[in-house]
Amino acid sequence: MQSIDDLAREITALPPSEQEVLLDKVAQLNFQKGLTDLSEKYRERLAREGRLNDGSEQLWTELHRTREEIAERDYPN
Amino acid sequence: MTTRIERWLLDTNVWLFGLRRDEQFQACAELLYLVGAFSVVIPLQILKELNANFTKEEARVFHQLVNDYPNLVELNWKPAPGERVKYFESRGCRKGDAIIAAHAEACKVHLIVTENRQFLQTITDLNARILSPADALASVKH
Repeated sequence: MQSIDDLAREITALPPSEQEVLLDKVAQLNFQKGLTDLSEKYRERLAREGRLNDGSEQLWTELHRTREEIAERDYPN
Repeated sequence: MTTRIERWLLDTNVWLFGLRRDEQFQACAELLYLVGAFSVVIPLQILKELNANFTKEEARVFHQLVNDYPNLVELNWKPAPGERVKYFESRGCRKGDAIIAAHAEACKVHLIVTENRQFLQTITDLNARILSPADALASVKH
């Protein structure tokens, strides 16, 4: 496997525009990894609470209720 | 070379169905994994709704994640302008959806993505387009 130094040398040899694309791609992949970790955590908790397989009607009811509660609190008129 | 990418507002249902990896709403998860092909704006109302659905620890992880990638995700903590909320309510939106429309307008997003059919059908005079996750996904893939 390539060492970090070799990899860094290879990257810095790229034209700036390609370096930018590469760094954007790395950020995107890291973001995806973070999303996967969050998703796992969220799903595990819902499964523990027996809510992971709640029907979509129930989910919609909860989403609408939360939205309107926050809306009423922030914009009471 | 810098390519300007569109700024999208993903509704709370897209985030939550996506993170649940709900099979009925598969496009939501697929769309979350394409962030980068577009950037995401998360306005105050949606932040509050997500926080209401997350535990403290999940909210911490979420905020850490989005704060780590400011080029991909922009948090907007400004309240939606009250007069625009009233305007969208007068156009037939429920108050909560009117707030989202007012946020979208204030944040100048290009697109709102939502599974909320009522929202999709009610708002017609917003500068931003409104698409379902499946249609938004198709627009990214083509």
